[in-house]
Amino acid sequence: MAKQPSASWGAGADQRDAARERLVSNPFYVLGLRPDCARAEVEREGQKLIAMLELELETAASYRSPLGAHPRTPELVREAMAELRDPNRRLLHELWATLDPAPHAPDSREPSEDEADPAHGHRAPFAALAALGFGDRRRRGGS
Amino acid sequence: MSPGLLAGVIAVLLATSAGAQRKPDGPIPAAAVVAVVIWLIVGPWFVAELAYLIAALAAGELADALVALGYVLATGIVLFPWPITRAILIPLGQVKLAWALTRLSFWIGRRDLRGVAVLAASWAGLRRGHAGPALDAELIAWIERRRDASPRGEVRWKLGGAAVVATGLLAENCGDRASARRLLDSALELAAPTRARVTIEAAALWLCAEAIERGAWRELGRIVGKTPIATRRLRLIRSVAARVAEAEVDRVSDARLWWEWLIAPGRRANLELVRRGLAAPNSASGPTARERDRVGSIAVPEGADPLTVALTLHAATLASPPDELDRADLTGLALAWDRALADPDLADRLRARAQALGAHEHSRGPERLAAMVRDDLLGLIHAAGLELGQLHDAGELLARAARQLHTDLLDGLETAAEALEPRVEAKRELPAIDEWQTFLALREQYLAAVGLGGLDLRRLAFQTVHGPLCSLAVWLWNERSERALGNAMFEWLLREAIIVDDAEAVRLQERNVRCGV
Repeated sequence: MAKQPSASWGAGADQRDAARERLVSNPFYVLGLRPDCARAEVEREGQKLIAMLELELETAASYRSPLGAHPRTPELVREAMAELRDPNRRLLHELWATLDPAPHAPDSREPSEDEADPAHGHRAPFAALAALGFGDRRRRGGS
Repeated sequence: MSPGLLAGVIAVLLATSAGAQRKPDGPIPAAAVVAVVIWLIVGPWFVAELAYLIAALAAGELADALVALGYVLATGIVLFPWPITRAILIPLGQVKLAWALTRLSFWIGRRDLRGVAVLAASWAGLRRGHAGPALDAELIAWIERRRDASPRGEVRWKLGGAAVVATGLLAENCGDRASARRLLDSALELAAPTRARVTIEAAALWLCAEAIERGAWRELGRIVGKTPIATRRLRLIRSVAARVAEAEVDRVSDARLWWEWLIAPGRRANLELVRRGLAAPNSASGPTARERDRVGSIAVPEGADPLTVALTLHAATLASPPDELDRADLTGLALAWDRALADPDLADRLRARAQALGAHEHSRGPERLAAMVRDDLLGLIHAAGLELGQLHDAGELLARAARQLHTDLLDGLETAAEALEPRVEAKRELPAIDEWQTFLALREQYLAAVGLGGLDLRRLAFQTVHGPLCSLAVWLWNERSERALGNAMFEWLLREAIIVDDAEAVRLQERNVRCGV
């Protein structure tokens, strides 16, 4: 039987988003650790971050990856710890986390009007479907 | 004229025009004649009642003014059904009312009144679905029944551009944006008599708006270029896109943008578009966005090992908007990964770390990393709108991925074409819109496959799809009164036959295309 076309081709935007997501949510970046850290350090840092997040401490609320700053949640921290407990998965995460998180990388939060990069602000997508008379899917009730 | 008599006249005209649609093209469609007759009868009445209303208001006779206002509204609905539908009923999400009133739009829908009415219903459904809970299945089925209903008498084509666009909007309503995009894009390809102007304008506007929402400004030029009509609004969109995408910054001045905004309909809605255009640089003298990005973002540390170089480029590429990536960026990235994956230090590092961590034997090579990188690269190439065939010098990793994909896609194409052929031979009918979607899906598969390689591959793929698609088109054209769809398929097959230089297929498809709709 002939094989189906590879899922890798035909869903470019999804694939790119998945690649971004993998880099952004690398467990080492989420925990703020370097790849050569010991297992005990992973557990210690993870528990510390969860406790800080529960206390809503500002210093634990975000982390950096090479693609910028991102919000940190207790779920994300727990997932990161679980990922690093599996040595096979950890090995791959170590490779992807080789790159230092950029200390001055742009923030991935939605920039405000004032913060927007003047060189690129005009290229940012906007709700054009609603503006041109096709309604706004984001306003759909219940979704 | 009494309202009862007016309703009777309209009913008779509606009945006579319904059967006369989509007959072999005459110079004047029957519905256009009906539109003129209505205007000749009701137009003067409307003007007289309007004058009477103004006079009654001026004289302060309120009772008379109210009666006149009633007549003005009644005649106005008959004379301006499409503007009322477009401005009021569609935004209010009044599906059935929009459908019913559009049935009176004899001029706007002069070649496809039924289709335009279904489009209005579908558009209203989209607005209703977005304003509140999702459109219920019963209403969707109601629209689909009207789309699929066979017209009375003999017709040359049943399903035209309006029904295709209506189906696309229904797909959008159901959250299937990929199908919506594919269907609306395909409506632009249908022959002129089978698509009403409002249909094409709606399809082009939706495609442009959807591209803007994805930030794919460069796509706008292609969409407007492909649209077979030129409207003031589409011209404005094209100019804004040219400015934002920095394609022809010198030719689109601020004054031109303001002028095009001023003369285009929907000024308030278009204001944000113009704002984006004006915010873009209006001179090509400075660095382009691409150049600024390159200068700013890719700073590989000096003396870095191949893995760090590849990861740095990888992160910078993922951080760039896909439509700003080009062949050089992705070739550079692929080559960097080739070097990183072939680096003996990486293999040593993996072995040592795997041993220290107690990882499985199969995790100790770079194969898993290579597979992830390959998928990322394919995703980036596709998101950037490039074809793998354009990156033939991009190294071993992509070459291997291309070979694998080449085999997979050709096999998939063959399977799909083989499934179509016996169905057509056995004359197992699907609804016309599904036949069209089958064609679009097979064509998309074909284009994905031929994007991988050169002309030889394209010839091979064309041989695979030509027979089944030609049989499908002939069946639709000859026996099923679906000449709009059959003709569009012939047109596409002819274009491809010319590209692959298949003389026999060119002759055959030229004859088929000449049959028209």
